[in-house]
Amino acid sequence: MSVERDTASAPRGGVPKPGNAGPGAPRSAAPAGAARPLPARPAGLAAALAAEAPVLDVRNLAAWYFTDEGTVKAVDGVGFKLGKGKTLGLVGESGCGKTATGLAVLGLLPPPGRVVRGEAVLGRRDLLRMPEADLAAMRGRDIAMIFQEPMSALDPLMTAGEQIAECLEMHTALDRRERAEKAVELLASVGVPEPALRAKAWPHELSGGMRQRVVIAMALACDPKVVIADEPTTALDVTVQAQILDLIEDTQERTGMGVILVTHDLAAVAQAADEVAVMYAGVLVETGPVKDVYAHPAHPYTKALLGSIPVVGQAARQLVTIPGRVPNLARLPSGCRFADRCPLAESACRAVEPDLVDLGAGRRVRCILATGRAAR
Amino acid sequence: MLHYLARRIVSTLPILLGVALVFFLVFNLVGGSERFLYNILPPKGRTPETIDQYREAYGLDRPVIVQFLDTVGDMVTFDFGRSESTRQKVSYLIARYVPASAALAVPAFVVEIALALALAMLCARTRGRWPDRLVGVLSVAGMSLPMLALVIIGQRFLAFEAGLFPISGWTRGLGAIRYLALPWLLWVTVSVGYDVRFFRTALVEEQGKEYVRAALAKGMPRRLAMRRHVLRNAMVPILTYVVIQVPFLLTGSMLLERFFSIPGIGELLVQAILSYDLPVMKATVTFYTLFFIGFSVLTDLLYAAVDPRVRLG
Repeated sequence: MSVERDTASAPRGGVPKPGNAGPGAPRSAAPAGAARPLPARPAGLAAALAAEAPVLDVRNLAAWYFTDEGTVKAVDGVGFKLGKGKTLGLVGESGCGKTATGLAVLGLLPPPGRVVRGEAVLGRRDLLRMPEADLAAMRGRDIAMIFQEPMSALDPLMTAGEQIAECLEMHTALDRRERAEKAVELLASVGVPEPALRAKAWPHELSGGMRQRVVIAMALACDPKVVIADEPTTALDVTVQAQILDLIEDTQERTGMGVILVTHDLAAVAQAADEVAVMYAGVLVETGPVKDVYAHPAHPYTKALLGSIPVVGQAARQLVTIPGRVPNLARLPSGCRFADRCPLAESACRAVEPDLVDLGAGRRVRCILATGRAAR
Repeated sequence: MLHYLARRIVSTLPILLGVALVFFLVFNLVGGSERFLYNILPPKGRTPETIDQYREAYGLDRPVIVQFLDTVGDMVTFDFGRSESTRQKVSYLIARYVPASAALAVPAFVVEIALALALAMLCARTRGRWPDRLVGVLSVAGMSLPMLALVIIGQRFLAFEAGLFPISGWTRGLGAIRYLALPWLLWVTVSVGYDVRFFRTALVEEQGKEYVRAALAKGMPRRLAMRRHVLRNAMVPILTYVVIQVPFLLTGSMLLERFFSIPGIGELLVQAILSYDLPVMKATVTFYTLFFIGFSVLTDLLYAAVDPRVRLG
């Protein structure tokens, strides 16, 4: 597990951008004392976190799919703040709305998906209430995405170099030759050997790890302030996974970009993230600094997720699983969404859906059992 | 590349052999050489003696295998002799009838494909909204109309009553456009629906691809992404579909050629079948076969040109 990394905001290289994040949106002060603090952490760090304005502030985001079978509430009121140079791990099982959250922020939800409410403030502008042309101008330059499947994220009819150069074509005044040169530089910077040669290669001629590096180079081409990395390591070999995470981390230290690491790989989050947000059935159930959440998970779902990681050397007779499945997002149960799978569920859990309650020390949890009976 | 072409040309031989076999089975054995003899003899001359005489003259008394090899030889050498009904050289007939077919099929096909592609792009861009739905309904309507009904409606109302077109006929040179206009219109009406549906599916499928989303995530405007990523990738299935249709243009136009008295190769084949003119039938069938093989090779070449993943060899 990693410790908090040096998050000193390194000077950002590359072209200066208009509309750069100024002081940012006012950050709502953490409500104090409302909830019982769980294991306390150094107050200094929390204060430091609060001091710097977030580079991306997502509030109350809801993105629903309006299908024939009903409204699927894939994202149903998600909020988080991403600090400059920080990494937020967005974790949860498949189908809990992680990817939809990322796509909604970028305005790239495929139909019939639509953002129904919320804000995503980047550089004082709300991405969700912006004309398509303005948003297109910000995509790739201010906020970029690393896609899950490196094969399908690359156009098979275009060379790796051309696809990286496309981002430069959209956002810089470089001519074709300069773009091609920059693409080779970018390939070199993401650790591709013989970059000049690889730039001319077709996607099908590259290995999986190499393709993922190309996809990352594509996302980083214009030095975005925020990168949403959607399962960047899932499709890769374990050895390559670590390299890719290191690469993202290195780039982050160099450019100070904020990263949202969308994954179901808790180990990846432990390695790379500062904060973690656990998502379940379209809502956040627990957020906080990675170390604290992993050491003392407050929500039963977080506990179950962490408990299902097999530990090397511990002779488990059987892998631990969470019984049941994520509920149908078109027909959610009343009360707590996790109640049906929760080993601790009481009748009160099924009565009212709990709120995401601040526990202090930067932690929040959505569980009446964790926030204490007093809160009921 | 050259190696590939050589191999493809060699591989056409078994195909031709198969076509020759089917042709021979259907027309020489099952359909019967007796039918042929019956047809070419005038009613008065049909005596057992003359029939035997003709049978010998046409080599139909030889062993079946020899007759078959003879058919294969004709097809491979393109030497089909003379038409039984007009006594003209078959190669001359083909050369004479091809231009009218091309004049009917090529412009109609080009216009129809271009129109279908434009409509399909409109559909893909407005997927699920009214322009998409309207085009969808019209396409199905066009597909549902049988060509025969359209021909009759067109000739009756547009040509005969409204006088917009001549009912049928033909002339050499540019004047033919007058006669071709209505058949062109009907052709486009009937076939554009199918192509819109196919192109739309190909485009919509490409639109959902991750690399299109990746292009948008780079900040590319949707229109440009549509052209550069969606359309280019959709061209792979679309090209195959279009090129593979070209040989069918000739068969497809048989009906139109017949109803509008256009002296094309389809009309030639119909006449040959009606008069049991074996040499001409043989020649037209060979012509179709070669046309078909030629265009499937062309499809492969185009594939390789468009898609870097395809290697010929």
